[in-house]
Amino acid sequence: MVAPTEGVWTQLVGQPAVVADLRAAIADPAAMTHAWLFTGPPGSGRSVAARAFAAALQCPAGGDGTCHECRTVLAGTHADVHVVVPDGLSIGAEEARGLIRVAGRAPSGGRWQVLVVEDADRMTESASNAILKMIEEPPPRTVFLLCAPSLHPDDVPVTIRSRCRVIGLRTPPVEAIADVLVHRDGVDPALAAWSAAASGGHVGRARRLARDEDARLARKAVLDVPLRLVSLAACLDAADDLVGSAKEETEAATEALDGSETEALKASLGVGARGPGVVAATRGGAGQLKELERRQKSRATRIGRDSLDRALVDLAGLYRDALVLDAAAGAPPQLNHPDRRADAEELARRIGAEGALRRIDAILACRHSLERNVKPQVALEALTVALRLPS
Amino acid sequence: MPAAPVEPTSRLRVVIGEEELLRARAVGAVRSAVLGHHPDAELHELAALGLPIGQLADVLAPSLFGGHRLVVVTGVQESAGALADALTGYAKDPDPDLTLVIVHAGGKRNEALVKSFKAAGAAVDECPKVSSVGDRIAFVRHEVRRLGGRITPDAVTALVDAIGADLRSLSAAASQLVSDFGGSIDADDVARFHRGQAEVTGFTVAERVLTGDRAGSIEMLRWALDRGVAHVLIADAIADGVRTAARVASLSSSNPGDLARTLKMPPWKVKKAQAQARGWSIEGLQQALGVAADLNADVKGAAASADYALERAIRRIVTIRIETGRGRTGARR
Repeated sequence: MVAPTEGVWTQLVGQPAVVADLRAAIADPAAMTHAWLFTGPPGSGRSVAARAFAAALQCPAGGDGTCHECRTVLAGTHADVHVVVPDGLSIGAEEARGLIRVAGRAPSGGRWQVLVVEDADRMTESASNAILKMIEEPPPRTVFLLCAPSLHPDDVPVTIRSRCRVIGLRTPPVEAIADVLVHRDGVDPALAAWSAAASGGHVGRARRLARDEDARLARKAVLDVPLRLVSLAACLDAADDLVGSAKEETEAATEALDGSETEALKASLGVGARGPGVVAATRGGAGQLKELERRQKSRATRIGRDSLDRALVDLAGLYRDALVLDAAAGAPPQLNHPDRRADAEELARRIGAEGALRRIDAILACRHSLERNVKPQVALEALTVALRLPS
Repeated sequence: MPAAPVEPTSRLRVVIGEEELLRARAVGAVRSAVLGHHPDAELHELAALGLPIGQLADVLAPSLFGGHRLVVVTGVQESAGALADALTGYAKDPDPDLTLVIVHAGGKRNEALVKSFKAAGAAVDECPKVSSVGDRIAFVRHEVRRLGGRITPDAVTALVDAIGADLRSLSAAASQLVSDFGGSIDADDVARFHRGQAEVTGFTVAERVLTGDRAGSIEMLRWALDRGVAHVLIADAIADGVRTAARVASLSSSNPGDLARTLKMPPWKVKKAQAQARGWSIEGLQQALGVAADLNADVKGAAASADYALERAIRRIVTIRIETGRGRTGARR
């Protein structure tokens, strides 16, 4: 049996309780069950935990991290581990039915047929309903691993939750994140400590901040916003900047991808080919191209929304800092953005605890309205106006 | 807009443009001119779509009995390549006893055919789309005059408002009015038979909202919903109007050229926004931005009734303008 700090378990940062539960399930068949639901705040490692668990399930040694089974699972190429990563806005019923077919198979070589659904909160209601029966009673060697941010019924329908064993991940401590950055990614300790503190307990974000200068600059631009908002013109400009940078990020991420995908599909449909029979062969291709376009659009919307959401969470963090500094100026607890303490103090002085709370509310309302498909421009303008500093 | 008078020497004609009524009139004018010269002329009208070349050759071939012929080929933008080639070939060596009219609905398809006709010296009747309101007003005025009537300016505007963009309907309404009222038409005459708003978009609604016209904006909203304008489009137009007004009002400059450059908007839009921003305070615009954002969520499914959400948002924005507006103190005095 592999120790809790070895093999695949090293991937899980600062989650000793979760590791203990999962190891127990590997060691003792009585502690194993057919459906697991990993919950925890973003960046705590829900999907990492699910993949590590999948590797440990397939590995004869319980997850040593070096054997063929472990390596293929972690690389996402294991034949009996099926991972669903929605890159669009939602997982539809059609995709869920595909999952059911996979779940019905016996494992081909491994010990388990594992189905991992990252972002199970993106399953539509009909998708959840479609896989209910399968999750309730899958074939004996099939196991479902679902990941969702919380157990709130908005994220996971109660009917799904009641059929799963819940594993709750916590926000990893700053020291644990810094430690991982230093040891696994070879980041300079000072930078690792800074990015771990600035990441708000999000491991992936901490790594990105530590390794990507652009990410640091983007964060700085976002955190500069609150003190800029002194006039209506400044508010509208700030909203433009936020929406603009989200758009840039989307374009950078989708441009290369969209073009090559479309080309690949066109090539496989035989568009542009010559010779007899081409017309008959390409018939119906337009529908497939349209479907691809729809998926690409959904993905672009998702990337843009995620980028805005990150900015909004950073903003809310700064107002939260202002709030705690105002409430406990003497001995403030840990700050979200320790490097921007001066900004937070300035904000606290100008808007006070009540103002900070109101602004946090406004940010949450804005995230909510973005989720409901409000035009980003409109939502962000309303937000920056609500965040405007009193003159 | 009458068709150009038929030159007796021109045996090739092209009628081209998007406006169906004008095309039909141009063809009609040619037909009557030909019949005027040659009362016993043979008339052929063929649709280009699916027309066999043999049939075309049949009507283009010299007649056994002599006499003049008029051949009209409609919809040549849809003609097959071989047919277009046949027409081009004929244009190089036209028959003096035959008038050939090709009717093209505008656009890029089979443009080469039209060009070759023009190169061969064909007379061209242009029937461009009548898109602006000003052009439509001019059209109605011309229609009435052509039928021997007179119409007052406010009557023309009312008629165009009520009927919209369809030239055939406008023309029919004009001739009906002339025959009903014996030639002199004023706004009351128009109002007896035509009422309402044929063309109303989200922008029409937004304009009324921003100028604080409560009754007018609700009226336009009802018309827009009645005409099937999507809720989202109306909400977007309102949000866009509020935002542009806020943009213009929040900058200290009032020079339209400067503003257009800073805001990257066309000057006409800046001028319009400046007019709309008048009477708004910064505070009011800030509140209105919030209302516009709520409305955007509401029309996308957050509200039980999008109709009601729109109406409520419009009332709120107008109220905000009145309560916080710059003209407030002046109005109370």
